[in-house]
Amino acid sequence: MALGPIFRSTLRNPTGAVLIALQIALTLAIASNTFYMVKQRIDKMNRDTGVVNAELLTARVFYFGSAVDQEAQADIDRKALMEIPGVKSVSYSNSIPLGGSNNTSSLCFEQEGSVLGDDNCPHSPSYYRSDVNFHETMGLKLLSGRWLNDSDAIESESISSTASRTMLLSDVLAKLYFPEGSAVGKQLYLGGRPLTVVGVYERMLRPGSGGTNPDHTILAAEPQTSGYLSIRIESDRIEQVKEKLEATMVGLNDQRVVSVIRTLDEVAERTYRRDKAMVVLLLGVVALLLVVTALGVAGLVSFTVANRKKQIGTRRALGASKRDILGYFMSENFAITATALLLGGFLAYALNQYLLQSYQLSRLEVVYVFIAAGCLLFISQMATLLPALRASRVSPAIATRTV
Amino acid sequence: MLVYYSKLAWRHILQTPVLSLLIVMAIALGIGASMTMISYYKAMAHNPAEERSDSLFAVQLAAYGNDMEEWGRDSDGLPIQLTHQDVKNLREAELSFPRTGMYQFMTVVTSQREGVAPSNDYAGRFVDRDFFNMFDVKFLYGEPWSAQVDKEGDKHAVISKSLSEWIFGEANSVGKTFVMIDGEMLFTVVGVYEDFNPQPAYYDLSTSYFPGEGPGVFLPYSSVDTLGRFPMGNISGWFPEEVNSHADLMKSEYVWQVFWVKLDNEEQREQYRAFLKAYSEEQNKLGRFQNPNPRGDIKDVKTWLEYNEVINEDNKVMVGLSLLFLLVCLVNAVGLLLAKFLRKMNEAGIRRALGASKRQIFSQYLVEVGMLGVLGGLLGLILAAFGLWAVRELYETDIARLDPTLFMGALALSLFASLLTGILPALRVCNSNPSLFLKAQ
Repeated sequence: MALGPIFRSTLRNPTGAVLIALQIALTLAIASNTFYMVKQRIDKMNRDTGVVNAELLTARVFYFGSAVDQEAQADIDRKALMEIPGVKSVSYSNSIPLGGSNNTSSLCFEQEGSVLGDDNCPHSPSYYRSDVNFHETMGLKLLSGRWLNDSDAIESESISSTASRTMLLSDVLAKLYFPEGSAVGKQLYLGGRPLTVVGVYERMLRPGSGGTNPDHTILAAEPQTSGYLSIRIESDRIEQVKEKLEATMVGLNDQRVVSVIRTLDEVAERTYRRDKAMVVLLLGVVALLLVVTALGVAGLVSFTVANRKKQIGTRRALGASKRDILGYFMSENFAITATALLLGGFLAYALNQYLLQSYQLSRLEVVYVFIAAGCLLFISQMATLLPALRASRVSPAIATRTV
Repeated sequence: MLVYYSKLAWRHILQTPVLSLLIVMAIALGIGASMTMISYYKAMAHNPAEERSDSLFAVQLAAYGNDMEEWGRDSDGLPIQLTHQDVKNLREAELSFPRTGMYQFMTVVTSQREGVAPSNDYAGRFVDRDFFNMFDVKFLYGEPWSAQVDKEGDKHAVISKSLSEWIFGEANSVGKTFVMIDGEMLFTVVGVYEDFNPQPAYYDLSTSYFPGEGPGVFLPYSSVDTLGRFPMGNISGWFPEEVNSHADLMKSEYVWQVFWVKLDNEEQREQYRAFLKAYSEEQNKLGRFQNPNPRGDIKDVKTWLEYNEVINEDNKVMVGLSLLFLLVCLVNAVGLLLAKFLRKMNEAGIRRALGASKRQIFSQYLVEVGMLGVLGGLLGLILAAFGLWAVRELYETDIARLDPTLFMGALALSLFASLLTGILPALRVCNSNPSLFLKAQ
């Protein structure tokens, strides 16, 4: 393919080419950053919660009768719920992964106050307070040490922090505090109290959307009697139990309100609603962008074809085949698009740089620029194909018709 | 002249229907996307206090004893909430400005209608009587509790119209009593208000910025001690403190309440700032506020909304993205306009040869571009209405609506943008040599 004539004819009337190039470069910058943002959101929504999502039903239990023995009632609840076919385990806890209520406290190497500075208390994990069955209800995986048992369980009214003397750490947290060697048997301070690590579990996400450190969690044995009720059920029976849960619970004791009855999947859906909305909107804008770009390229190429009708006719009359004409327009577009993509690559990084500085976004991975560039090259060539085919059908006779 | 140009322009548009449609679509998509995002952004950035914005002030105190200079939304060392001790002191200070302490609590209300189970769907909030005036709560029946109740506390309640209907089956329940808290306490309704849920919920940004429901029941802040309700919201602290009961929480250094004061002019503001300074220093002497720089601050509603970053990053990114998208659409429109105009170049040549000036050709083309722009803008508004519907569905929010002030803005923007994009192609046309085209006929 002779690129010389293509180059010269493009340069003779560069406005159209410049406009196409500008549009493609901008589109690449926007699309690659958008793809990357979408990818991050999807990763966030798909991340492992560490618990058995599909088997969990949760509810909030709130007492209004003052004369209720909540502890005895919690035992009655557990027994009654365990009798329902399909129910495997029942727990009351202060919060649940991805749920609404969150307790955090700084986790320190030494008693706070005696040693100052962030080095002493580098992280603020969320802590779960529940009965000793909680790991079973949630379906956690033990990596080292042991689960909590009745000897760890402590009764407490404290709302400020856990009164427990022992705890389990998530794997991420254990590695952060004890990068060398096992965390089991070590002591750390939570809310000013010393707690001994008795085990390490693989993962359980924080309540809420998790922020930057969603894996920083702690588990302590402190049986709760209200707050979040979690029930682990065989997943095909979950809907059945869900329907009747409020009636069952209020039937057992009518001095309480049982509300916000949701499967953990529903809890997750609500927690991630903003992320999902963002993904849909971002993809919507990118899709429109690609359509607009495709139409723009098609429009401008048609215009070029119409403008060069005589030139095409002359070339055909001088012996150029239909394929040559098609190839000519396709390679002209290829050259323009490729140049634009090069420029767009730089623009993509400039845009990413701006986003990095203004918002909490991470650095653009180069693969997304290539994905977007690939898409654009394809779209641009496809948009050229139709007008180029029309160009190839221009009759050689046209060269003789007008002067 | 304009009428003639418009006629001519309309004929041109019809002569090149595909190109014209593409241009209109490009402008419409750009306007539609950016108007959707800007409308949503404007809804979030809305200041519901309006003309009261400048006179309502949220109070902050650097109430801690160690190095917490990173505390607060802006890492300025000022937490957005206050301790109970401080709210109590600020309420009781001998100043005559309207003020209110507040916090939200969860409560269970019992309905008096048959077969309706008790519900905790209606959030409760402790406030002072000034709250209703400061935050423009509209009373339908009755009035706030008395100044006496503000001092001594009583089981008086001001409830929303919805709650009144839910409990009593009627909107006007002033003077009636209902059961709430521990399933046994009787409260007397003294006032019923039109459902109150300003968006964003600027009166208390420590919980949710855009709650689905507003408060259902207000109780006198003066009963906080006796009712012993735990807050439903954030509790933060700077050192570990044992809290086993509501009484412990009230004595603690945890921050969990909010305090507002109404200051009408600069003189009053200065007076209040001086008061906060003196108060902080006094607390410092008493052994609290042991940080090196004991201080307080007041922020008006506008500042408070910005300080709390009510608009989240996603929305800012989307506005930026949609404007970039509009830019691409406009670049696209320039290309298409160029194609469209150059196709009609011979006509311009004839008109030039017949005596039309460059200026006339130029203005005639701009009229055409303007028409395309207005058409695009109108179509864009329809697309924006659809886009906002999508936003409402996606975020399950009600606040994203097409702003009437944006309506004219969108049309002006599309007209301006299209004229800007039309200049280059129109110049190309009117600067070309007419004889060139006459020859080719």
